[in-house]
Amino acid sequence: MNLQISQCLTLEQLIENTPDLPTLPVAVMAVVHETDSPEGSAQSVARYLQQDPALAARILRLSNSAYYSFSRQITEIPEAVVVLGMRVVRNLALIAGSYPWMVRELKGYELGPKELWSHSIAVATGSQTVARRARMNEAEAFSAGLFHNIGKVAMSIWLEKKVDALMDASEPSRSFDDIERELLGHDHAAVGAFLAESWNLPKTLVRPIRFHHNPEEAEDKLTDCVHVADYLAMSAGYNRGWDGLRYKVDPGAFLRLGLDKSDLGSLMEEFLQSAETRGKSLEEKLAA
Amino acid sequence: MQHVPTLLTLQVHDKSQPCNKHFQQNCEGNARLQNGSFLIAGVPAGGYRVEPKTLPVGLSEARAVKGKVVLTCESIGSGVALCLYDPDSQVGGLAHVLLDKPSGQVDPGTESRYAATVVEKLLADMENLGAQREKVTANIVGGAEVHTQDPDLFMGSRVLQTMRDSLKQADIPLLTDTSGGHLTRSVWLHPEHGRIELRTFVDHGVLDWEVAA
Repeated sequence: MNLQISQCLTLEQLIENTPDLPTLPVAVMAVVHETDSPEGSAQSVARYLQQDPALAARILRLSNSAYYSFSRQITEIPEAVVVLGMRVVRNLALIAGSYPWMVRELKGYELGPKELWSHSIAVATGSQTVARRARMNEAEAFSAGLFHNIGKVAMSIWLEKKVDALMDASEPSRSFDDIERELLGHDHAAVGAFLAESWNLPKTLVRPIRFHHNPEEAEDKLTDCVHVADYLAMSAGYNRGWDGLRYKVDPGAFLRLGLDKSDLGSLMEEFLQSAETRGKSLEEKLAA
Repeated sequence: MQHVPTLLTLQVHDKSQPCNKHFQQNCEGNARLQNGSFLIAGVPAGGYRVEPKTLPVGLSEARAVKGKVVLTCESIGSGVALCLYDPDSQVGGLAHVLLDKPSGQVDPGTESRYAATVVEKLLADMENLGAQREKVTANIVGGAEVHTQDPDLFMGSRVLQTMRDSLKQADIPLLTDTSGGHLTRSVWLHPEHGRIELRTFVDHGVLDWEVAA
């Protein structure tokens, strides 16, 4: 990383010069495309996953987590796909494939090990809760929420080099994505979307990553879902880094989803219960 | 993230004096006294570490302890950490709530979820350990907000207001109110010393109960 850190760094340069970039296993990407395609089938999803035994083993462990509470043990991938459904198995594949880098310490954001992970799982679970209320596809909302902050994994190392400037610019009243743009020319949402595009992830997942702090620009309910869930998670203290709660919330996202803002208490109550249960049960299986 | 707080001496910032830039940046992490001045972190004396027996208090939980135990709430966003303390019995209580009041009836066992019900629940737990209600005083920490102009989305303010009302109703004096802003906070309550440690990512302060009183 010999490049001079400057605002002039393009997204391509920033990504190319970031060491230890996160990646997704080939099998996970294949499953994402398979589930996104009208021709996708349970058999082909199972076949892709079985090509990566380590990944398949992690998915089976997750399938048997307390969260899904099946009376019997799921022992084979094809069985998991049939019992849980393709969309849920896709989410488990995304969780299993991203966990190794999601748990990294991100010094540029002052995030300790597993702190990005717990925030991401909270937002994924929150997106699912919001989608349920808005009568949308819950499993799709989960995957959109899970990856919304992947840009932070690439941005962290660059922010770490700018820590003095970050301190100077860090008035709590300024939104943090604004500070990122001032210091590096890009924010973590743009970097995350670029990364997701380079993995060839579908637009339905890229859009919420790019616009999760500016959902009014996306005209997409899935992005609104992630935005509201991010607000719930930050309010609940699931973001412990430099940035804390320093992002804007767009009240329009609630309106577009048909959510009643005066009912925020019960939405938060539902979110807290599922975030806690989900996070713990997945963590137990992944750390095992 | 592992927190290893350093013992800091206290300064009281006179609000009539101008703040330097560093202080303005950091003051939202410090305890705001009722008279408008701040307790701010001073020069580290060094070497102090949190005692090994530290009990975490999660969201929607309330816990009371006596003596040599430290209670901690890490990662307080819009929620509010309620710190109660009786200096005579050295009994302390800590709760972390994010909801102001239940939408319907309170189910038994869920009192620690709501600002409207947690004060009485924590007081009862403390009385079981020998605290005397009339000796108990309170400090509250938290209530940060995501950036918004929409009052419907002021989650922290709602919890804070309900907590203040509940304390008033229970006749418990509120000594300090370290609230608002946009930063996530963490708090450690040391009942043995009657001390609270506060931390944001930019700041670390210590509040002694007798100074605040």
